[in-house]
Amino acid sequence: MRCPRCFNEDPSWFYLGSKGWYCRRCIGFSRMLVCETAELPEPEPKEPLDPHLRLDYPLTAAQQRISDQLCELSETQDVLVDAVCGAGKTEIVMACLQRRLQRGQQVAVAVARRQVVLELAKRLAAAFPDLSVIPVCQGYTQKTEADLIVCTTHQLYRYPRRFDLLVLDEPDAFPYKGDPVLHGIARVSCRGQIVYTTATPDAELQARIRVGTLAQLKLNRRPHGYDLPVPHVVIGPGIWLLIQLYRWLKSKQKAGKQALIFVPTIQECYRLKALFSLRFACGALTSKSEDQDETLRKLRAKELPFCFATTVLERGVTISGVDVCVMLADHSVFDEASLIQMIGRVGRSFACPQGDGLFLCRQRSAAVERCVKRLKEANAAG
Amino acid sequence: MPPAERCLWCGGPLLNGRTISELLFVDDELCGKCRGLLTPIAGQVKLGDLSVQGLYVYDEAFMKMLVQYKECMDEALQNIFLKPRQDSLRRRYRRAALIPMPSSRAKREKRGFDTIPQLFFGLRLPVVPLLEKTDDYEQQGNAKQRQSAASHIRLIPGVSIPSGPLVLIDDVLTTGSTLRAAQALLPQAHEALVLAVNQRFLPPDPRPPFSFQRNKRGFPH
Repeated sequence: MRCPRCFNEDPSWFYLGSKGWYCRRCIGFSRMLVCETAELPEPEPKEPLDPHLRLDYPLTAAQQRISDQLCELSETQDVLVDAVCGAGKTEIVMACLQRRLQRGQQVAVAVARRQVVLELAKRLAAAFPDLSVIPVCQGYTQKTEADLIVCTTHQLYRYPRRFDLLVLDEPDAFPYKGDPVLHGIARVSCRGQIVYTTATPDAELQARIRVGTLAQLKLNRRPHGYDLPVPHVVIGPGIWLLIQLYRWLKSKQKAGKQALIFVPTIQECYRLKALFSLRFACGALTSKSEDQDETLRKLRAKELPFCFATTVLERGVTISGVDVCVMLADHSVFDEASLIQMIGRVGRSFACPQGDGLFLCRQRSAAVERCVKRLKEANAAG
Repeated sequence: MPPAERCLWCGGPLLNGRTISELLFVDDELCGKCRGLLTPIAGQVKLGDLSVQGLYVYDEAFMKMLVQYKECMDEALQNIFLKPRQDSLRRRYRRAALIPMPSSRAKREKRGFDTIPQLFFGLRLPVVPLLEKTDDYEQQGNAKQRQSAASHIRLIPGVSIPSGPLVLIDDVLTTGSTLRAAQALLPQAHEALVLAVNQRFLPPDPRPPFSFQRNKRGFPH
């Protein structure tokens, strides 16, 4: 027996209900009977569109080369766009989306996190002014049909066998990473090819590259041509790290710069925010924050100089001119990928192509060392 | 992991968070941690002439489980609410006939099962459907709309009413309007059994003095 949605074959997850066997591993997406495999509807053919693509800046030669290769390779196989943070992955895939839409094919961009979906939908709507682009995620589920759908990976359950091209952004991010149900739902939603875009491909994607089921396109340089920021690592006892953080924030305050301070846990986030609020104007942003959108708006509008955040902000968010500190960077919550992503928030824009990164650790950590090594390697290779 | 050893809510091992006495004497389909998410209550709620026995507080944890059972159509959860108390409830209501509150026909057909009778199936008492919805009226969330639901149920024409005691059964006591309307149609019913009771009907701390509700450390209160 095999679940048609999450491809589970473990018999202990199946239950015989009144209408037949169903899988309980993906029951959160409502009951799907095992016998429903053949009943998945074929999507109706769409009219070809002629979307005009408007980019804020022309693609660099390297970006253009990757974009052209992607258009070609993605016709026949799944592709991984392995580009460093801030290399313009979204812009690179846009031509590919445009080409598919011109043929009347159905496309979608799926991201693991809701916050990133909202930002990405805005960027794609600006890039494709002729198209209806909608975000589909928690709080945005009234309208689920459009020319171009930007959704969380959870919401892909709404579109079985729908997409000819699915762009899966940050497949190594929680909650998509390691969740077999979400992997299954993504596979079911796509009847064509999947394009993965990330700066930190996980072991699963790397294994697929090795066996040849996934083509890899690599880009090690940001469009403005500057090196990736390599963080300064400070190791010391907890109280020393707090003093270092205070001094670092003080220097940012003097320089009039914004800073994001990543912390490993929600509790730690609110604790540090309370402590540093005595001296600095700062906010906190976690998955439990009720004012997530408002805090992010303030950050972008430069109304909030400092913000403590958990890994909820580690990906897909661009705040121009921001510096980054990772408090307790040696914590087990942070792996190499998340550290690279967090430091990748620095120097993303043409206006501020450089910035400052600081890792505060209580002890040496393999993840921190690998992160620094990888950033240096990318700079050398770029 | 065989199905019987997997917690029906979290999917983890059934042994998680269970005490030795629970392992020996309590037959449950939830692990100790998930059982601890539900807040059991003691005592009864008075609703006019009707005395309503509730089992749990209608809180977020209960609501999530009920939504998975009803909206995601996860029939496997049908016994999790009654399981630890079904023997005592069966003894208590052994002479009674259970009268389920009706659900809409469209939803019943879509699900393939009737939610309320199946929730009480574990009691192994006769369930007699005496009531039906007059149309496919959808019960809504807000209190005003729920109260108007009262006018949408009626006795099934031609049905014979059992002679023994009648116990009205429902999943949640939200405003009490459905149970009140049912009692108006069946005045001989003086008792009701619901799985969860809205906080508004409960005293500030509705937990029984000794319960299987756990504190954060996993120890019983």
